[in-house]
Amino acid sequence: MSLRLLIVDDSRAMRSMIRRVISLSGLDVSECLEAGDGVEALEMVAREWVDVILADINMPRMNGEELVRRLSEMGITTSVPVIVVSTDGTSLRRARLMKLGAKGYLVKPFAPEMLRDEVERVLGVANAN
Amino acid sequence: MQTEMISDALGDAAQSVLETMFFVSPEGTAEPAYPQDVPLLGVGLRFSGEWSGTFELQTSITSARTLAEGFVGTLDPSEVEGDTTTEVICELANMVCGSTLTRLAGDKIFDLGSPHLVSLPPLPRVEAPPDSTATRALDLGFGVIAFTLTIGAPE
Repeated sequence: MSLRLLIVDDSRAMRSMIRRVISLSGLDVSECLEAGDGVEALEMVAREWVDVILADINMPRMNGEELVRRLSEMGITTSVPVIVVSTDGTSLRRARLMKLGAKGYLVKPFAPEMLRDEVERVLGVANAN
Repeated sequence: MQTEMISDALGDAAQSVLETMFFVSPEGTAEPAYPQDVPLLGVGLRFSGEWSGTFELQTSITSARTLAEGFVGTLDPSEVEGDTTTEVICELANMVCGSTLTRLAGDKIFDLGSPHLVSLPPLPRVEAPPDSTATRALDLGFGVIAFTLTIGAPE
């Protein structure tokens, strides 16, 4: 299955880097959409189908925690899993995001195969729901 | 917290970030010193939570551009001029700081501030015991990069 991914990060350089890692990961991706913050991500999800959302935490206007909470309230996270991509690997932060509705958590730095494994894992979780 | 523990965590975190996300293998530790005439780039950020403090990164502008090329995957120097290089080095600071704090205290929670350019010498020190700050410099093969973490009281 060819995937449509949404990368949500306020850093253009980081979005480019994640695209690059995706291309090296071996995932079958047909399109990578991009949003610069949670507000843009919500607008994009309202008009475009995506299979997985990769979201940073620290962003202006609407951060990753608020984005996950809104998507969860809208019932979107049951069909579109969100993987949080963050430099913060602390157990409390991870638990907080998972409780809000994130299905995966990827700590920077990460290798291409770690991204692939997490995407495949959350798609398995999502398909089982 | 002992300087050695902070320094080791800084070194491990920086090595991992540079190898995984920048495709650069540091050649070992170095002295955090630069020739007088080399233009430098400094980035700093503050963190708060159960620990608060500052993180600082310093490298030459030439090394910063080389790192940016590796990060965005280009051999064209024009693609990493100006803002792109700054943005990439801010991301590097964010990743090394977050990774270091996770290594030192993975059971605590922190809020990382946004990395920003600092005029050198960088951020004023937070109030911290003398043993709660450490600097680790790495030899990139094409220059030196130095990281300093200072841990203070909770905010």
